[in-house]
Order: sequence, then C-alpha cells, then structure tokens
Amino acid sequence: MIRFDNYSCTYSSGKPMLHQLNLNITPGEFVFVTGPSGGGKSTLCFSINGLIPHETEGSTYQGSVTVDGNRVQDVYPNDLVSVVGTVLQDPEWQLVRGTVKEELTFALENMGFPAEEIDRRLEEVVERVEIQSLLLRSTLDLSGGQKQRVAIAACLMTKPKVIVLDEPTAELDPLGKEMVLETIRQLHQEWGYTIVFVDHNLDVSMPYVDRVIVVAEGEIVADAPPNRLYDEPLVREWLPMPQVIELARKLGVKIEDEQHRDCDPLSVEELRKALHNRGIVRPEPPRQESDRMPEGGVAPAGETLLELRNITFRYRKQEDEMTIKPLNLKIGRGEFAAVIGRNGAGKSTLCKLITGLLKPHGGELLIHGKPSREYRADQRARHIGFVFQNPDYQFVRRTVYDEVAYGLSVQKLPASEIEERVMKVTKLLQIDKYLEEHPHFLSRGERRRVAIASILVMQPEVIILDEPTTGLDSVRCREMMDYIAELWRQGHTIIMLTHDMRVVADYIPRTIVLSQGQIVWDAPTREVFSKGKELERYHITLPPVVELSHIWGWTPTALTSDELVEALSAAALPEPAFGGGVE
Amino acid sequence: MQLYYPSNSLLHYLHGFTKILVFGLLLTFIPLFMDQLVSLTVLLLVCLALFIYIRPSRWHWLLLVPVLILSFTMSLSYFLSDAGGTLYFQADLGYWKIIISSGNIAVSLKFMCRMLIWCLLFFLILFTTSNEDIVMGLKKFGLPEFVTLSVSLALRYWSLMIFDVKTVMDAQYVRGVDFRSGNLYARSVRFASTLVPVLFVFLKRFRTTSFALTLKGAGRKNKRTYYYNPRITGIDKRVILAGGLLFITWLGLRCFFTL
Repeated sequence: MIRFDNYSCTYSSGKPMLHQLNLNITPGEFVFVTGPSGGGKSTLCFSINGLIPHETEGSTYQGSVTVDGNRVQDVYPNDLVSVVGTVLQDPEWQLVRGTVKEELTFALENMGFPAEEIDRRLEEVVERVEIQSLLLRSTLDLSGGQKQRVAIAACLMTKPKVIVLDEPTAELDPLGKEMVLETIRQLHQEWGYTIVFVDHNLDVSMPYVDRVIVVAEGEIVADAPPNRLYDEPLVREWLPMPQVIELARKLGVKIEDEQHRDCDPLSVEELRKALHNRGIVRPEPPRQESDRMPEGGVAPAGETLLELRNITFRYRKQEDEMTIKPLNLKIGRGEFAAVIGRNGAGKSTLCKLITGLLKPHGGELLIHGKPSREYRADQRARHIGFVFQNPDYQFVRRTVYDEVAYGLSVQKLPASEIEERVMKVTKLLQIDKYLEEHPHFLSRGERRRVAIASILVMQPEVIILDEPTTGLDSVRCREMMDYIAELWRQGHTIIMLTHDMRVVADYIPRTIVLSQGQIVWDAPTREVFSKGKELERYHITLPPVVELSHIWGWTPTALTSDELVEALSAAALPEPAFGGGVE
Repeated sequence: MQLYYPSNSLLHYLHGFTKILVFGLLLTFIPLFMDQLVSLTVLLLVCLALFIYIRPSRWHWLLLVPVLILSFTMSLSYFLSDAGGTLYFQADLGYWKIIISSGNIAVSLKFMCRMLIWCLLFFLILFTTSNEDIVMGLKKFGLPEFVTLSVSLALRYWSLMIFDVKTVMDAQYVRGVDFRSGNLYARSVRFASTLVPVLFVFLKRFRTTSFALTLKGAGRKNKRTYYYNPRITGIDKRVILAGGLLFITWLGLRCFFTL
C-alpha cells in the first residue's frame, strides 16, 4: 500500500530530514511511528500525503514514495485526497469550516461530488464515527477530542485507503486521547483501514498496533512488532520503555506470542497474567518508609506563600454556574504540587486567578498574608511566575539572552545584575549555549526551557507550569522533569498543571484533584492514587504501576517502577532474565 | 464567540444575498445622499427598530458601546475645520484650531448618524446570517472561489485570533508588563511588543490551515459543487424589490427636494 524506495528528503535549510529510507506498509496494517522529536516522523507523514515536496517550499527529495500505485511526487496533494486522509496535530486550526456538517462535506464539494452522493457518505460516516449529535454544532464549541474525531470523520468522507495521523492526541486531555484512540482502533479493527499513526505515548498505543517503526535522525532505527520492539538493540537509546515493558524486563517476565516465541507483555492485564503464571498472585505491598521519595521530599513545606480563602469565579458567559466554587488552598514554601483533573475542571482558571490574570468574584487571595489586589503587576511577577503551555506566546525578543532578561528590564534592574541572573539561570537550564539564537527557532523542548528561564530569572517564590511536558517525546519529557525537579530541590515552590499521571507519580509529592471548580482531593500523591477506581470518575488514567498495585489490593499503592520491583524482589523473585529499564 | 445567533425573525430567514444587497449595498448608499439631519435621524431610527426586531442578546447590545465611542471620537475631528454657521467657541492651539459652530455641530452629528446607520446595517447582516449563508450570499454576486473561501476562513478564525492575542498579552502580564496602567504612549509601546509572538503564533497556525485546506482538496481544478445551496425565495424577491424601489424613490425625490 505504501512504499518508500531509497527515499531521502532535505528541507530548504539544508537539514536532511529523512535519509535513504526503504519501507513497505501492507494494506490493513496499523503502523505506529515514534521516536525523538525532530527525528523525521512528521516528514515521513508529509511524504506520504504529498505535502512534501509540493507544499513545503525548498524541500528536495531523492528516491520515491508510492501510495496505492500513485507516485506521490507526481501527484499534487489535493488530488491525493481520495487515497490518503490526514489528521494533523492542531485540533483547532485544521478544521476550516464553521460547523461540523460543513467540515465533513467540504472535501467532497471540492472534489465536485453531487449532493446525493455527499448525503449518502455523510450518513455512513456520521454513523460510523458516532458524531450524529455534533453534526450541526459549531466547530468552535467542540472539545479537543471531539474536534479530532471530526477531523478523522472528515478524512473518511473521501474514502481514503490510508489514514495518516500526525500526533493527533498531543494537545488533548486523557479523555480526549481515549476518545481519539478508540476511534482509530475502530478504523483499524472494524473497517480495516491502513493506518500510519505518529505519537509519543507508547503506554497507551502499543497494545493495539501491528507494527512499530522508530524514526530517529532521519533513519529507521527499528521496525518490529510492539511486543518484540525492545529486542532491537538500538531502540533503547532512543526510546524509553513503556512502563509495562520496563516492569516486565526488570522482573524478567515474558509471555508467549501466537508462534510460541517469547515476547514482552504490552498491557497491565498481560503483565498481571504473566506474573500470575510465575506464582505472583497477590504479593505483599512495599514497606512504608517515612523518608521514601517523593513524599518526604528534599524541601519540606515551609511558611505559607499563597492562600486562597473561599475564592469563587464565574465567566460572564456562564451565568448559571460558577467555574470556581468556594475554594480554599494553601501553598507552602518549597512545595511541589500537581494540579490534575479533566479539561474544564478549572485548573487553568485557578492558576489565572493566582497570577492575577483573572479577578475573583468572591473570596480572597493572600500572597505572604497580604491581599493580592495590593500588588501591582510587576510586584506580583516577583512572587508568582507562570509558564504558559505554549512558549510561543511568550517570546518577544530576538535572542534568548534578551528574552530571558526581558522581565528584569521591565523591573528596571541594573545591567550587571540582569547579566548575572540571566547567566545563572540559563546555565542551570542548560540553554546558555543558545544565548545568541532566536528563541522561536529552537526545538520545542528548548523553547520550553527558555520560557521557564524567563520566568525563573525573576526569582519568583512560586512557579506555576502549565503542562510543561505536553508534546515532548519520552526522553525530553524526562529531561524536562529532571530540570523541574532540580529547581524544586534548590528550594523553588512549584505548582504544575498536567495530564501526565506517570510524571505525577514519578516526580510530584503533592496532588490536587480538581473537578467542576472544586478541590476533590488535596493530599500526598500516593494517597490520592490509592483512591483507585474513584479516580476514574474524574477521567484520571492511572499509570500501569499504580493500576497493578490496585489489582493486587496494595494500599497505599506503589508509585514508580523501582518501588514495585523492590517490593517484589523482597518477596524473593527469581533472578531477572533480561536487562533493566532505560537508564 | 460568534456574532450570528439563530432566531425566528424575518431577517433570519432571508438569503445571504438578499441581506448583503439590501442592507449592505442599497441602504448603505442612501445615507450618502442625505443632507438633512432629520432624514438621517429617521433612517437611524428605522435601523434601530430593525435591530430591536431581531432581538439581539445583551452581549450583542454591548457591541454598540464601542461603536458609539468610535463614532463620537471620529466626529470630533470636524471641530478642527470651519463649517460656517453661528460661532459659539473658538480656540487657537497653534497648528490646531478648534471651532465650535452650528455648522460644525451639524456636520459632526450627521457623520455620527451615518456611522451608526452603517454599523447597525452591518450588525443586521452579521447577527442574522450564519457564516455559511454569508459566503453563499457573496457567491451569488459572482465573487471567485478564493475570495469567498477567504471570507469564510476570516469568519471562522477571527475569534480564535483574538483569543491568541489575549493569551500573548496574558503571557506578558505575568512577566510584569501591565497593559492596564500607564499613559497611552506607554501602553501602546507595551502592546506593540506583543506583535512579535502574535506574528509567530499566527504564522504557525496559518501553515496548519494551509496544509489542512490542501489536504481537503481545496484548489483542485475540477468544478466545485455546493452541498449547501439555498434558493432565493419569494420573500427574498419581495424584499429585494422593496429595497430597490426605496433606493430609486429616494434618488428620485432627491432631484426635487433637499432631503
């Protein structure tokens, strides 16, 4: 169905993106493409749908890509729509029409189909993707997951043979991710589409795909079934293991595939069964140590920096319901807290209230015991820093140095002090080698670090980070979290909004669960994750280690792979047969 | 945020073409041929009555506030010239000379009336017509595909663009850049600094949209079909006829009377 023959691609900058690629994807395959950011995954997608070379100015190629007999380089992408359907990353800006119905019919109108045929296909697709209730709604009013589902439905209208999805879940909350993944699974299992799915989330996707291709530095470094992927020697360098495989390998557990060959379990259930076969039915929970990380923490909570007393807030358009219901919260010096909850739970609103971007309807916010309204914008910035999810919103200067120094220049600090602080912060976040670069031209992870540096340099007592790991590959996600954890160890108070529960479990000692503008739980992460099934109500998907702990009835639960392995090792497991995790 | 809201007024049922022709062209030209303040006031009241008839929400009413402020501010410029009449006040400020006279007041009020009439007519179209109907209306005028597609994209994305600008301003506010205090110059300079991130964000967004359009077959050489293609009904024809007659009658009367 898709064939790459000695295909190489270079962008106008001269940077080679794909190098001598040979690849064959058969009809009906579900291929998961992953690898580090900037490795060439999107280039691979755009080479299939024809955006490269036709819509990417200055891109050059060698070799060829053939899709269903069409040589992509010879056919313009808008003539390939009935062969390749594409879903892009940005849920908002890829929907080009006002209502869902218009969006679905748009491609067929462009292709000149008669209205009767459009009607027929519309009925079929709407039923297939189950979006009847959305049909007449404005695309502006949909959730992220619904938007991506509509984008998939719009692809199906042209009856393509291949569907290419370029990180369609990167900007979605867990519920949206689940909604989109469910639709993709249906496309493959029930209707037999050939799927090329680019993503970073191995934990969720691996159990469902036929084949995993790891692309790094423009080359395919691995191409294997998911349960044998980590047998490939090069993969571990580029791709940290999903938690289930990491656990299985650390514990020396394998399962048998259909050909009775040893392979890795991919889901929690498979791992549980494999452990059960080894006689681990209901092992003893881990020993409770008062100093165990992360609860104990290096920097224990000190004096109260922030206090929210009965804070309420309502957006103008929501006249009947409060977005934030009377809410009380205290954040102490040196704390590291995660704020979790589904989209619309009030997380961003809460942070905007703390940073002064929104004014509360009622109640009071105290910073150092003093009402927040008594602080001017520049004074407040010295106490509370807010790093936006998208760093592009933040950059106003031409060089990284000027960008990081910008907040200090607003405060009119002396040049020598500005330089000293900028150098210190950029060194800490390892961006000192980019000081003369334009911030907009750095990679996503580097841009995030510049954004954090530009806030950190103002030495705020509290740093609020809005989803700092979204869209980063597993390696860079860990790097980013290591930087953030380092800041915390150095005494900064950190509040982090996130949907990544593995990050919360691995790094963050305190967790605040928000739902419908109220705090449902505010406790140590272990205690919150021990709630198990109750968390499902708030659309919180637990990491495999926690899920396994719940299956075994461990209270409190284990949070990290190391804790679980340690607990099982204490129960005298046989020696592991394979190598450990990524590190 | 959408300007259009569904309702059951006659204007909501009219074809986009009819509304653009009657409210966007014919009635828009009439104020240009009105010299008397009374005539303009009557037309303004008619437009206001139509505005009330379509039952706008409180939020839609609030949009008249910036319109009033803008038209009033712009009308003040007429006090910098001499339109004759009884002189009430005069101040010489060097380069500028402020003159308040009966002539200036009349010209200024006429300008305000015209501005308000045009804005109300514009709102009548936007509040009662979905994006799709506006595009189909423009299409009936024979505009090329790329123009109507551009209009539909502008209508689709304008609220998202405003949201992006606001987010950029928020991102600067949390770094101590206050857009709410200081004099006009200081605020303008601070606002100008947001243009860089706005530009970069939009460039990335537009790239996505451009890709999406190509991948949905926009720009193909074949003839395009229109799945949604409402017809011009009998009511539309009558409204167009009435609008045309009103326009011609007004021009005719103007030949004999000063209106």
